[in-house]
Amino acid sequence: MTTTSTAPTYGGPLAVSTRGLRKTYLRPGRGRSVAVEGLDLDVPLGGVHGFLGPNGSGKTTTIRMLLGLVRPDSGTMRLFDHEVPARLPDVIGRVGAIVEQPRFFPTFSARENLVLLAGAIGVPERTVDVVLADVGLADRARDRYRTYSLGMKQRLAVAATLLKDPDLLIFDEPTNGLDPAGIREVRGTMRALAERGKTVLVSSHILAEVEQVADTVSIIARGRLLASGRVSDLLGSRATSSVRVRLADPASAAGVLTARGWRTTADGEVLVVEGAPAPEHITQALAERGMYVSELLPVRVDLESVFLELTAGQGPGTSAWRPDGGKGRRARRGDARPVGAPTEGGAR
Amino acid sequence: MSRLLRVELRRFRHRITLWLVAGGLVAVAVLTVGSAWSWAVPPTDEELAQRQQFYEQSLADWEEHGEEMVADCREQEAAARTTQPDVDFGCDMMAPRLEDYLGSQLTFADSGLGLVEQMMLPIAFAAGLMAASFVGAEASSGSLGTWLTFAPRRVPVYLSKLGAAVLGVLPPTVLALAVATGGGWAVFAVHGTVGDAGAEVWTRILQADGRLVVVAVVAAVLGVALAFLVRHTAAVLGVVVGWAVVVEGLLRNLVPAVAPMTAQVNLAAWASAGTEYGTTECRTGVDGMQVCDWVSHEVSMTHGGLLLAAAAVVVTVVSVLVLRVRDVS
Repeated sequence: MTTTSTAPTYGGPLAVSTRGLRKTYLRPGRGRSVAVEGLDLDVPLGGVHGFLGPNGSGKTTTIRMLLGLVRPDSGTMRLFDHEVPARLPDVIGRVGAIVEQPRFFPTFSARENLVLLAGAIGVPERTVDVVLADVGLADRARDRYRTYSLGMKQRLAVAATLLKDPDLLIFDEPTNGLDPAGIREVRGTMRALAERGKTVLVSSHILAEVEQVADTVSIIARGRLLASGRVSDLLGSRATSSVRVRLADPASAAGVLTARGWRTTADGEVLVVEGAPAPEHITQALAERGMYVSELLPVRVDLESVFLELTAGQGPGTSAWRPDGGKGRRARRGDARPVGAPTEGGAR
Repeated sequence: MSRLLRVELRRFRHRITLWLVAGGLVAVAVLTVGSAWSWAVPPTDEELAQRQQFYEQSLADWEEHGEEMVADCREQEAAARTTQPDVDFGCDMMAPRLEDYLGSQLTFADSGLGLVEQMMLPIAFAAGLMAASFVGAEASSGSLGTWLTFAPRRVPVYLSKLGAAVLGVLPPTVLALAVATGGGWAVFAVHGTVGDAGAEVWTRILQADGRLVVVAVVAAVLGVALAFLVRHTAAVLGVVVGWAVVVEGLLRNLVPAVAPMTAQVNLAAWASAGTEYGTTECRTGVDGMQVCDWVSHEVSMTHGGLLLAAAAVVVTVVSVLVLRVRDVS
């Protein structure tokens, strides 16, 4: 599965689709700052879609635009094939969202907060108790929201999204501030929802977290799409046969392995070997010359390395932040690459 | 829309802050009634005897020095008339009169309307504060964003909050007015000083009550609109205080002609079925000295009502337009 530069294609119905989405903010005294620049984003129906990017890359702004909270300067957006924001009221019942930190009335109880939201969409009050139980907050339902820990607030926000029994759930950095148990819990919730046929769009800058749950991802930086596709394709396209080999005499070993036509790179006592058909061929070649490895580790490509490769040199994601004083490579419309396409300066 | 309104009314009922403000308004009404207690109590026989004694002392003094006092008065009046021909020192009315010493007993018929009108500013403030807090708390906590992900049509959301605020301020307003009106009557009734409170008196009092209910509605509308514009209750209070200092205070002093456009004058005109404000008009006298006169101007109830309504409509329209296009955090 690959993407094109402007129109990622999944070959099926889409839960979310944007084309040429642009949003700028006026910063007093600093002119206009571009938050999202010509973003083409497709989220296929069903499964978990990771929306990845450095802090400030435009993820939250994009989500806010999808939810009608922020008005785009230009571009189009569709949710379940309904143009938004024009037809957002027709489709909002199918969308549950947590944007950044959950925001509820601090002096109201968790239950009262949800009862109000349920009332707004005509959901019966008994559903509130069901969703509170679903997220494990039944015992604390009558406590004031302001007394909740961050993890409980996140769970309450998840409960709020479940009130609608939505087809699309949007979680914006849902594990921010959570402890490991909370993170695992949220991950489990997202996976479980996807297995129930829901579409989950989760934005995050924590790659390992997304890699464990996402079926597809979109990677953005400075408001532009860099890559998009299935996680397996994204990782597979960058799969290498690199192996890290630790042994007593790396220099001699490099000679042996290079003679076999494999590429080697020395890194202290470690050799990184590329091109060998399989790790056992390396041990065999070295053993034949009386050299024995103390450690042999196939190098695994993960989402983090893909992400770093794609966003290399792009700072924290905003066009306002240019560590190189503005001389560096700036993402441009059309920069999004098909997964597996050659990249410049990649950490392959 | 009606579903949103029901939910908003439920939220209004559950806000502790609003209960506190409503309680404060009713407490002010109770204090107002309490202040009437001293007016309602008729003088005791001992006080009447003392007043009679003061009168007799004054009368004796008058009989001894009255002619001399009148002559002095006329002399000073004649001197004053050289610059102000129309001046009248009242030299013919210097003789002591018993009724001036005994004083007149205030009755509910005389002062009931005044009691109710005293509630104007507390009602306007409380209603505005409740409405501003109702919306401002939601905007400043960020929960408006959460709300809009459930109810994305912003104009109906605005109208539901406006409707809830208006309906929400009515019960405490009506209760406070009932306390002021009924409590005032009760205080005078206890002391037997209700006076001639017939249908005409009650009609005027109840009409004033009704006009103050309208004041509460206008204040709530303005409170909601300002809270949507500045997104924080404290900021709304800042705007109100700023307006009071700059427009009602400084500007009105510098340019007295703006008085009929100020909130205070128009509120008073509406609540009291017309009011007056004064300006100083100066001219040069016959001796070249500058003479200033206090000139009274009338502002009608209609003028006050129309201006308040226009202000509420304009601020509301601006607020709705801003909410429609504003990014919500």
